[in-house]
Amino acid sequence: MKDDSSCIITSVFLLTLGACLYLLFRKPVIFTEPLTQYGLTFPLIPLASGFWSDFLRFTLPDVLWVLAILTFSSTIKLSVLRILALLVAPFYEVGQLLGLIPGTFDYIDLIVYIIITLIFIKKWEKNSQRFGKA
Amino acid sequence: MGKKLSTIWQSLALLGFVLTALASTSAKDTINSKEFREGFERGWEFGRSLRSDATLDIQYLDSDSIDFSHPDVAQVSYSKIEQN
Repeated sequence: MKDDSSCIITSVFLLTLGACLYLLFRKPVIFTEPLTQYGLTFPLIPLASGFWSDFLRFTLPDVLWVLAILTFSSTIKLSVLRILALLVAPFYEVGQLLGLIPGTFDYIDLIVYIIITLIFIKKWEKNSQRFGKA
Repeated sequence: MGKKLSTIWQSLALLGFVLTALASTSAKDTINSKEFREGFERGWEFGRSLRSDATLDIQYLDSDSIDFSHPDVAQVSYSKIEQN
């Protein structure tokens, strides 16, 4: 139970961190619009294009989102739901490829999602006591 | 009962995660950057056919530039085309 709470708190923290990156480095998106209406905006920090700046602006927020989902899914006991949670991020990216979901497919994002997901699966396998209960 | 409730709120939380992803797309002026790029490149090729000495200078992340650096850029501005 205590573990579950820390997973949920970590998950919310990761999401918040990703949202901060959006506020600081990305042009307005749907979830930042209400903040803008209340004057809660930060000046957009311009970054010269490059591998690391692009990673910070485009890939890291998505990575944090995936980490948040997977951290949260560590609390899920129902195996069907946990598998669904594992598939959310890769399916989201593939959905973009197929034009079913807004946004643009990026194979780097997909590779990173798959790597992170595999790391979590390995971690859960190691923690077999928890995984076994699922 | 407790397990059912737990499953329901976890399902809702997962839905919330999906919604956060959808909410991180551009609210307005969203265009498909792939389509934009393809259209832009076609236009550029046409321009080149008219003026073979034309050069293209793409600047990054300022008010009058295209950011082609990442495929996830859905909201793009315009480029600067320089002709010699």
